[in-house]
Amino acid sequence: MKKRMLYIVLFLILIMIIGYFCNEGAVDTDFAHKNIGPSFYYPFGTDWMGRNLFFRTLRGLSISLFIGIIASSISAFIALFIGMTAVFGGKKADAIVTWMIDFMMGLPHLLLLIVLSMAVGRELKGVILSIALTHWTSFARLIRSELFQLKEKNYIKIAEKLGKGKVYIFQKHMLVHLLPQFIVGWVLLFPHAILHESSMTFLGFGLSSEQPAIGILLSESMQYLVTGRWWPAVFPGLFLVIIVLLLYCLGKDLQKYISQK
Amino acid sequence: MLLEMRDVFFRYHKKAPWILKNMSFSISNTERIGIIAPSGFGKTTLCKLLAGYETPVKGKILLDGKPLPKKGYCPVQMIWQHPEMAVNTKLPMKKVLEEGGEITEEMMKKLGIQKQWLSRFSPTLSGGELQRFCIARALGGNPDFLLADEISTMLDLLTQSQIWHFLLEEVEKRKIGLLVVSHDIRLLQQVTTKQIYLQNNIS
Repeated sequence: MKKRMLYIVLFLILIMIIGYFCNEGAVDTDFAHKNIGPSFYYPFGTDWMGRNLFFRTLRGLSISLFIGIIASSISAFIALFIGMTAVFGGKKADAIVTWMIDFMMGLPHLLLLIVLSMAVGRELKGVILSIALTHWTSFARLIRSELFQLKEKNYIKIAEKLGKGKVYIFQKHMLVHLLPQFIVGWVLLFPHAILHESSMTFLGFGLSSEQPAIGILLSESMQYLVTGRWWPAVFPGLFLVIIVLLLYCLGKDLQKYISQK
Repeated sequence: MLLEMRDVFFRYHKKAPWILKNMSFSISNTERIGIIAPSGFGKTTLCKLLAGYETPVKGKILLDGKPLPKKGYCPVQMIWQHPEMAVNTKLPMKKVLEEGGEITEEMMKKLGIQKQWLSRFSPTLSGGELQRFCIARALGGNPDFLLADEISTMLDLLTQSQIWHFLLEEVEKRKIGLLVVSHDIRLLQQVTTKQIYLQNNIS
């Protein structure tokens, strides 16, 4: 299991690095070789402007992973902050936080994403901000309940009676229990963030069409599907699914690994 | 120093039955008092109230005429019945001991804490071994009163006598008031100077 996690991480890093250097190949047009099916030179085929879909897919995945990392990190820290506010800020703060979580969860997810992204001005920052601001809810609830459970433990009450302050208790007693949960939750946010990034971009509310994001590739492929050109849709879609599944696998493995320890 | 319980009423929430009704007693820091009660009477609750873990619904807990401090070090320390719940499972025992304050090697020796235990975690130690750490931790600060809530029920006789010898010696030396709660009358007669029998007269 440890080995599998390592391989997944290495594979994802590799995709990010390769994708980073694929930028030129991904946007180069070559009208002499347009709409070619998968072949030796073009493993994923080319699109209507003769762009190499292999490079475009890799580039798109690397953009997705980059957005996923940043957005889920911001989201995780928002969740941590909000969860801690609920637990240490007294009863009123908890009531407000619980209401906020319910409120955010009650709103339609995708709609909120689109509105936020439009408000910030689409593009990279719009996508990252809207994902970061909408994905903290269930994670914040998890952190809140975990901290509440810890707060009721005898050893924490004993530490209080031994004169230890809140900061000391949080650092020494709570963090050791919370940190593994936090890391797992953070990794499990990744696939969500990536999927939402792609769907927003697919619908035209995310990244602009010059960028070879997976969502853009998929929406461009729509028009060609009916004419029998399947490769512009299948390969990017397949790889998106694979990446998301790998991230999910990584999160679950991490969860198992930590709970066994 | 005098630890007092004055006309205390207690129940955990509004619909729960009363656990303590109109209870008063006091203990000075030179006394060793034993409380005997049948199980389910509320012995642990009594200790929690005296050590400030719970606040009475009515009545007062007073230390030298003043209420217990709400924040900071509490001079009334309690040793819990279940040591495995009183210790963080993810901290090495060394850190657990440090929390109590300064614990001398002599104290560790007398309690029978082996040095190799210090780097281990609580799930790998037995209840008796853990209880020694809890006792050391409670004595590490500078308590005026010590509440022992059935601390030796799960220990074998040899360990029991070792722990009680140490505790009685420390309590005598440092002028700490000791309240021992148990259902074992013979133990209480040996370690305490005065025994209080509580009976279930609450209806």
